[in-house]
Amino acid sequence: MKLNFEFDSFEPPVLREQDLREILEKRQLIKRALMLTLASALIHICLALLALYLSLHSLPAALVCLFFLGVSLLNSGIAAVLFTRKMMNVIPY
Amino acid sequence: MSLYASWMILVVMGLFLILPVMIGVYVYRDSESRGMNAPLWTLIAVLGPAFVGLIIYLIVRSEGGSLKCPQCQYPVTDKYALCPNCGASLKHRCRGCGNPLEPSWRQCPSCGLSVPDDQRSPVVERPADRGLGKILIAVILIPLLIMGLLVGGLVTFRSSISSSVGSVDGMRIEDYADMPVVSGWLKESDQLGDGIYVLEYEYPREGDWAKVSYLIYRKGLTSMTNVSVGSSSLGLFKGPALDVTYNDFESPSELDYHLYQVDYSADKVPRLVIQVNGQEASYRQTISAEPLSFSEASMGSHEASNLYEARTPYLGNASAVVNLIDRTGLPRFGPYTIELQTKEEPFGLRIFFEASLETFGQQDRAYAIILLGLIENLSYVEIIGSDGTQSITIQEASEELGYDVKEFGQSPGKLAEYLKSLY
Repeated sequence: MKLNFEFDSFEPPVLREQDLREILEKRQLIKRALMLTLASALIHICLALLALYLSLHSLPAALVCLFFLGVSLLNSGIAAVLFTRKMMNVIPY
Repeated sequence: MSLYASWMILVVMGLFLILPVMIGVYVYRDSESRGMNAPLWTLIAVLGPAFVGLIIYLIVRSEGGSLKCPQCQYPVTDKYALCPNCGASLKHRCRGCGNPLEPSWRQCPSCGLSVPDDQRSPVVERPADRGLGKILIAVILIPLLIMGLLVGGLVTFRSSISSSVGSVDGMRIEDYADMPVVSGWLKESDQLGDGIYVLEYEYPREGDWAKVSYLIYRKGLTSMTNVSVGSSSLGLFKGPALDVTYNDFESPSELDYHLYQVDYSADKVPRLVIQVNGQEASYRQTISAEPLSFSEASMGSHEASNLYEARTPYLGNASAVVNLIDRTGLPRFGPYTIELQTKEEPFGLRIFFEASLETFGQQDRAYAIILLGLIENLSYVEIIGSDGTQSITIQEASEELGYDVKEFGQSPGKLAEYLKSLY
């Protein structure tokens, strides 16, 4: 097995500011989307805790909160599925 | 719902509302500067559940928005070759044909000339999107803050099941002779045979405070028994429990029954749990329409023996002094600390309450007199509240009683007599 690498026989990929800028923006977008997804999970946990807290004082209020949590989770799921199917090409990686 | 809980829920709701407002303001401004349909995208971002709308907006928003002409700061888009206000060139031009070039092009689509690297950078730089950074920090921190508040609220709730328990042990059936409801219930229970019977009376609620009295009749005892009572929580949903625990001894009992009265006050009516020798016991419960109270004479003798048992010869025995104070009605003023003046005579006891002594009455003064009688070397008592001090010396107490106050410490009879005179 040849272990030597001939650097002179290959041309390294050309780095251009614009390309790097685009990669940076895409990575930033992914990072932001991940942060928002994490925030979304935290908000759902908060709603569950709020429902638990409300149940100590008012059961109807707790049920309303649980209903809102269920609707929110359902909508998030539907939106995530639709978004993944229709618009995943917007995020290249 | 308590004031604390109402405030907590209001704060949490307020924090929940801050997020959509921040997101709405950001998306409206940003989409407007990019020439997008600002009201529509604001609605999508705000109403989209759990930030899905904002994620979609960030992905689909046009990339060239929020640009400004480097010369006159007029808003432009990445489609413009010239500033419509000052005419400054916003794009590089092909050196062959003068056609405006996009930064991503490697060759001019008009004449085919290669685009050099120095012409592949945008003329108009996009400003950093700082508002989004703040929103991203807020959407992480605010839910964490809400979680902290709610967890704190739940923990506080669990530890604040405030209750007070008062109990009277060793009652006799004769003590309830003048109460037809109780004596009738006792007779009925006797006919049913050995077992545990509970007569419950729930007092009308006073605000958020519930008070319940239980009379527990354990029939068929063969040995002496010791009973203790305490309150606990069965969990967040089941509420408080009142635990009554019997521990039987080997020694034989002179009576074949045990009567025990418990008065319980708390924000919720508890579930009564009775344990006999470590095992939960079943009982038969009857609801009474009348309050359960035994004759005042009995009350005086029971309270007297309870106080007499806690007497102490030395003021320096702080735990015994606290035990005695706890058996009086003085703890009704709330948490307290004591200071013992034992360096030189006259020895004194100072009780400090955080609360006001506005409602300090004759009964409370009587408790101070009892303390003087039951702590042998005590010469004066000072009760200090947030708004004043009440004090009494051994001489004043003896003058008020007409005999030596220290006689309380010699036999429970004198103390019982004094207590009866108070009712």
